[in-house]
Amino acid sequence: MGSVNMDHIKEQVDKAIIDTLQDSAFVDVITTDKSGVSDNFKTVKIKILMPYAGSLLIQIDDKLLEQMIQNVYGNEFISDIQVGTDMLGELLNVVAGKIFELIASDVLFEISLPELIENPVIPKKAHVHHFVSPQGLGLDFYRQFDSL
Amino acid sequence: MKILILDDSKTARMFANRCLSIILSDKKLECLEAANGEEGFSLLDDNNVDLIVSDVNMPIMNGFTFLRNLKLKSDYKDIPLIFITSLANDARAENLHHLGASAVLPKPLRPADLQVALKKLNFLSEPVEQDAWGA
Repeated sequence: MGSVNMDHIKEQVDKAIIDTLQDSAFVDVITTDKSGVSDNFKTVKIKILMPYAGSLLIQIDDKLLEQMIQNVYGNEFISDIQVGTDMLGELLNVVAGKIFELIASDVLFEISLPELIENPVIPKKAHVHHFVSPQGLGLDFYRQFDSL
Repeated sequence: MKILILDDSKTARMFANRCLSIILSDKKLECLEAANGEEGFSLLDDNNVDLIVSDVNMPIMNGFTFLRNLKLKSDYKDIPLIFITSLANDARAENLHHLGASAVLPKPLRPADLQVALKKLNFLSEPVEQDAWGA
């Protein structure tokens, strides 16, 4: 099994998320110290299956998700939960790939399909990254690796 | 030219479709879409497909199984397949090339990467000069 490098992981994960949102959803976010996610949000999760167990979650303010849908699809699907969930899942998928490339580029990772979580329970040992858009809309990213 | 796009994500299929449409703008292009390998084979049965662009991680039939099955069918084994995956590190790429993939590209899909892959497969005569997203 290849080696895993967790040095500077926070900064690198921050960059991976910022870049992915810019490139794929055409939104700009910056890191922030506390959550800007309102009471109306969506949560999507990917489980890390191999070679380490763990999970990655994105929790996003509904209005920020709507903005992303509008950017990518136009106005047609702006309130479509399925489209929003699909887009969020795909973004999380891309972020997962970037994180694995950062920490262990020579390791074969396996992940689950993204799933919408209705009543999210954040893993106690998860590391959190907070982001906010220029409009003050929040996105939180949680990462947890069981054996790292 | 007919291209089959396999991905369980509608968003990812849309990105791939847009990318292909811009890069292959000089061709009469038809993109067929499927959400998994099983749906993909249904479309292959009814269409003469020139190229397959596929995700790896899909429900029902994933990209690995799809490619293995593709290579076992005499009617389909020579159709080139480009994988576009978020897990496209060197280890994964080697694994997929060994199975018979023509190219393995990382997500998010970059037009420049797709251009190089299409040129190697002789689907492009010259690289597109301007920003392939039309900017």
